[in-house]
Amino acid sequence: MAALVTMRINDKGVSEAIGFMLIFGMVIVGIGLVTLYGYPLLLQQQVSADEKIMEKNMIVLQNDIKSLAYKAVPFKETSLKIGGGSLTVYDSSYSTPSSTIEINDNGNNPYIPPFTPGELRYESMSAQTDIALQNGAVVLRRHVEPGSVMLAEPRWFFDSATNTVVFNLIKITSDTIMSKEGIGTVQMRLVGEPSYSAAPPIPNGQAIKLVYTPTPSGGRQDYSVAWDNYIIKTFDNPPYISMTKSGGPPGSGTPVTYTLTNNGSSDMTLVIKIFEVNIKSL
Amino acid sequence: MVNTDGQLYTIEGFAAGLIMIMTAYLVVSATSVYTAGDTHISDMQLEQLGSDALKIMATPASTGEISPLQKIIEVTPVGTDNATFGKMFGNLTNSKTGFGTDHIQFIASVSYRNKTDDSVSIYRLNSTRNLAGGEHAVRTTKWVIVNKKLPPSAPFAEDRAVLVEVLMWRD
Amino acid sequence: MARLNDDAQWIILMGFLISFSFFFLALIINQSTVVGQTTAESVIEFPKNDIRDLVGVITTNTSRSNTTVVNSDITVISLHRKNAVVRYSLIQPNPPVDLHSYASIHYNNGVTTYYENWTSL
Repeated sequence: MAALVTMRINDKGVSEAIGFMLIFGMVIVGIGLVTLYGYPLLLQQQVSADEKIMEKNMIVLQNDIKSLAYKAVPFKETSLKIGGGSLTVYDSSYSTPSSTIEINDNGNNPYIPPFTPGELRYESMSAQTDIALQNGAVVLRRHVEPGSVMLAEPRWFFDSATNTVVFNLIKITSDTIMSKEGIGTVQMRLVGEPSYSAAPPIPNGQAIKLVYTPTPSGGRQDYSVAWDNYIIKTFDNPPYISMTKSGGPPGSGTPVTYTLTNNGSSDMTLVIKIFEVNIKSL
Repeated sequence: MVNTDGQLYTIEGFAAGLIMIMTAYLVVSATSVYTAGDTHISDMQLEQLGSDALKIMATPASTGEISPLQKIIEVTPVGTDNATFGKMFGNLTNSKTGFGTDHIQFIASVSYRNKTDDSVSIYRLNSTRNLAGGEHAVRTTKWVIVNKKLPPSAPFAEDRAVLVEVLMWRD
Repeated sequence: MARLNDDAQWIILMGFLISFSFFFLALIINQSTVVGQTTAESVIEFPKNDIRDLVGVITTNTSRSNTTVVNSDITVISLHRKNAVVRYSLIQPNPPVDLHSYASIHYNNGVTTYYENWTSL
């Protein structure tokens, strides 16, 4: 009996080495599974985090531009981290601008020369998304979809009490072509005094024509859907303004004309201000 | 004989350490935020300080008198410097409790309207130094009604509204 | 023969807890990065001082002459230098019938719209 009992609790056959290998094997299999499935998920998370951070950074830069333009501060700089893509500045005179804006009177005579805003654009490598800071607005465009969305709005407005339409156009320029990845500092300064166009008053029944021409190549840099939504939201103000839209549709790469007819009892005042912001360095 | 009792503890320790370092690395690298979000708090305070100083200067000492700011603009010919403004504004903004003074620099200018074509002209009133190009400045403004020939070629002096603009920064 | 004692299982538990708290922390930080405009910027953007100053200059000078020129000065300079659409009208006192002056002030800079109907004491 005593011998049997000893047999039963005898653990001399248990090998620590084999046990260790079993445990080690399990650990290795675990690590393998995580690498195979978990890590790609994590990377994807990282990409979307990078994109979110850049959306935020663009709004920070937009705030800098607002300070320069509307508070007439001469210089601003912001340090930021550009992850998962690159930030590039496109001068206002870039050969294929993402948009051209014309503001004409009733008889299609222009108030200002055709305006190309230039832009600061973040191009994500993996998320297939572009975020652009153009004309004071932050717009986002996914490559695979024809639509685009405005994350932060520019300061165009209609004041119904004084029947005034205000366009604040912001032109981004740079002396050289610049692009940046990783950590960088965006330095920008206000160039000169804003150009101010005082148009003659627009009587009842007359109209302002705003023509938005997206990039001629169509494709990835067409932000016309975002701008279309914004323009309709801002200026379609019955009974003061009756707005009609022709051309387009937005997103197809063709120009869209917005006709803003003065329906108010008083003359409409049109104010167009153009601010020039120079990107000194990225 | 060498004792091997601690081997498993060592392996476990290594594994645990690696797991923690990996986690910390992934977490930190995934969410590193580089943009400083609090730089604007000092801007806000500086702007308020300037605004308060201008408000003090635009307040008359007693009823019936004109305010120091109005007087400064009225006596200074367009395009010339006025040191009184700099002295007064500098004293108001740079005073601190205790010893020493603050280092606030500024450029003050005046904007007025030309009656003929509704354009706006700006002339410098006073400044402590010129902008070198990299200052983080803020702008504060104050409306003042002055009795002055604006523009200087105007035939007679009359009540006009002008905007005093002060660009200020610390260095 | 090595015999692991299990007195320290709570160390493993703590390890797990710390790892999970790391992830929660990451989630929270992630959420906070979405905001691009700080509170201080919003405070700067709100034209508190501009509106006070404007109301001040309009209402403290009701007795002055030359109100038409001053009115155009304020309207034009506001638009040029402050990016704000301003319109106001002033009714001066008409003694002995009415000793008060009245002002109706409108301010709009595209973000903030402000109206005030002011009556003197």
